[in-house]
Amino acid sequence: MTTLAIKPRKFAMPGPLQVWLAGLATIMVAGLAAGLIVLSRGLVVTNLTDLVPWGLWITIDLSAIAMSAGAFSLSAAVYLLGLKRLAPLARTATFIGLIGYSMAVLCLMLDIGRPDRFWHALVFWNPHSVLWEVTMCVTLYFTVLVIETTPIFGGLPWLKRRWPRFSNQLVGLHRLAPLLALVGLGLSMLHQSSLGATYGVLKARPIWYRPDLSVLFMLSAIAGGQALTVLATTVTARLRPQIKLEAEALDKVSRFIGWTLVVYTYIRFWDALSMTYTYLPGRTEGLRWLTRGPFAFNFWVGEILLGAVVPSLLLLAPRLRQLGWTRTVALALVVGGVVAYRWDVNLVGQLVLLSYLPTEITARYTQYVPSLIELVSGAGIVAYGLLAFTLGARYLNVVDHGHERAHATVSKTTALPLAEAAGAD
Amino acid sequence: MVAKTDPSDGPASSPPILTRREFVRAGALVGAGAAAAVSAVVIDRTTATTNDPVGADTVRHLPVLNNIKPAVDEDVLIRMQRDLLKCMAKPVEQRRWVMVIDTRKCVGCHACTMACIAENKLPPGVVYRPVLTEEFGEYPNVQLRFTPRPCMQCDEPPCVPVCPVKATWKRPDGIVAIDYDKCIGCRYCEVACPYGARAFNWETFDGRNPAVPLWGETEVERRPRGVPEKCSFCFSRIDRGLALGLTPGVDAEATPACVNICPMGARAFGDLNDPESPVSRLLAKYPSYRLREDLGTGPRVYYLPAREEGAEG
Repeated sequence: MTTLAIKPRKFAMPGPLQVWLAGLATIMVAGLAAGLIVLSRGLVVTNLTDLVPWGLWITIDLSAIAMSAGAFSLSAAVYLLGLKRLAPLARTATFIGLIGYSMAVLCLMLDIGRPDRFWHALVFWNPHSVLWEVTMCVTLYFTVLVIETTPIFGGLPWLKRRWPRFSNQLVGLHRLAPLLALVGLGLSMLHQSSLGATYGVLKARPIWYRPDLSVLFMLSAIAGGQALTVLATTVTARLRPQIKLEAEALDKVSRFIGWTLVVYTYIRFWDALSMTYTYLPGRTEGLRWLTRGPFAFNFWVGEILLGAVVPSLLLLAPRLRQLGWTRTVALALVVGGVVAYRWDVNLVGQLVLLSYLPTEITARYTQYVPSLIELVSGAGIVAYGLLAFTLGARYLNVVDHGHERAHATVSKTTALPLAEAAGAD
Repeated sequence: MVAKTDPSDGPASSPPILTRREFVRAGALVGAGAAAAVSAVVIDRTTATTNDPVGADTVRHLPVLNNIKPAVDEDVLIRMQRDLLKCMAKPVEQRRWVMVIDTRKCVGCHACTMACIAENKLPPGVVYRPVLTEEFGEYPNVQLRFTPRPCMQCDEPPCVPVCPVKATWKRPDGIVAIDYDKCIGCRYCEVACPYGARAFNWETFDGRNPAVPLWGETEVERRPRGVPEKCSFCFSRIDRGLALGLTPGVDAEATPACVNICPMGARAFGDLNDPESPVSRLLAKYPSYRLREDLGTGPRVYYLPAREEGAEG
């Protein structure tokens, strides 16, 4: 039903999948053009300034890494806690993680002033720098993700037909999964929290300067990453009815996301309320901008109401959760809420500046609106992520809850029947 | 396609995903690799760099001169060695370069800004040391105060520990320097600086700089696109001046350009570890303040507040 079935329809009207892929490819080409302009003309084509040096790309980068957190948390659940039933979900999450981290790398290659020196952090170590630690962990964890997803690529039907032995070797790397889950857990815990600490250690920006950012980044990443995994699984299964889903596993994870959101919301409120007690120049103005200023809608509606409160209710009330569409909506809201949170955190600390003149320490405000080039190249990176997942779901069976079991039982004995089975699938 | 299987027949229960032997072997392999990498890096990093101009290994005493009495017509090489010893008499790590800006004398002419642009060949739009204007009171009783703001060369610079590649560091004499060849342009230092002292090179600039005089250019390298830059206390002038046996803060050739140019003489420069230096004298005589001392950055730029006319001794 895969490759063979397409041929007769070759000259017919393009199906929805082809239209979707063509649309994404168009955005990617536009993004590529924008990216080439950035690389040739430099960051002058962006609206970044010396006052707001981190903008849209850093938000996409942070969000992509947060959305990849399903990989480490679900892998740990399967291979360290022994929740074997989640194995197919962990497989999907790992693939999403690979895409997410490659998106983050693409963003950073655009964002740093000297992309030709991206490797410097690996050679010139500064262990004092949170950003160095993040770079090292992201690099190492990306390697872990490549090994973790190798069995998925090894299972490509074409590869199985062509080089069955090589394909088996790649699939056999799955043996390392527990070890990789352990390493991945350590590396991810380190850098997911350190991304918050990247902001949290800066005393010059009082709205950021607090330890809670690490905890909040960690919790929101776990919720957002798992939400995206379950969301992508549900949507893919909806579009490809032949996919079998373990409804109970999805339900369990959704409930876990709900509880994670409750903890996240609690710490978020506790954190925000504690900032209101005393006036601290810069921090109070920043909080005011978040709750009453230009970020107010983003904060109250995007982050709190739709991003945390509504989805946690939808995911924790069993009757609501099991309606089906409510769960999908809730998971999409969680993803949006995490992106909104990253955007707000990144920008509020930069748009509210502190004066350093001796008379009075007062806050000043500045502006940032992404330029067209930033938007187009950012959209290109997001389109790349969607395209990669679509292709993975279509040709690599990254969402298939029947696949894992069949693979585990069959591949040990005979490889070829499985290849045929997968080819005819 | 999927046969209904016994739950015990799942992916992990039979056969084991990783036997204990394999797990131990893989762990040992990873551990050995990590240990090898760490030791390689540690060895690499603990080996002294040969071109380090300061530190315990630097030759400071040339015993050969102890036996040669100074003479009027002595060999020129001996004379040069004597001069070298003189300027090395105080090691650079015992220097403490400090700038003092007298806000009472500053009239806000921006000559320092222009001198800095010419000295450091700043690209258009980049300013290392703006002069900020504050207005007090209401008409007709209005007062202006001008605050020139160079890099504070903090004792605890927030920009240094955040750099992921150690491209910015504190020199032994306290000046915060940037290695433009190492920097990756992540701009974390810009975000971390409370004084906004760093400026990023957003675009390439290789044309002739209109701010640089036609009759000569200084020996300051141009910064490439994609790295930040900032006031350096003109350390190229300081280093060169010291090598010539001059005293920064006293001899103009060894002093930052902004200090030399100031028509009001509103700023002084020198070694705070030297009680005879102009900055030590000023700071001993007058009260002073620094910007955002509450942050604990320990700025090395001191400001003298406005005071009664004639209070200056």
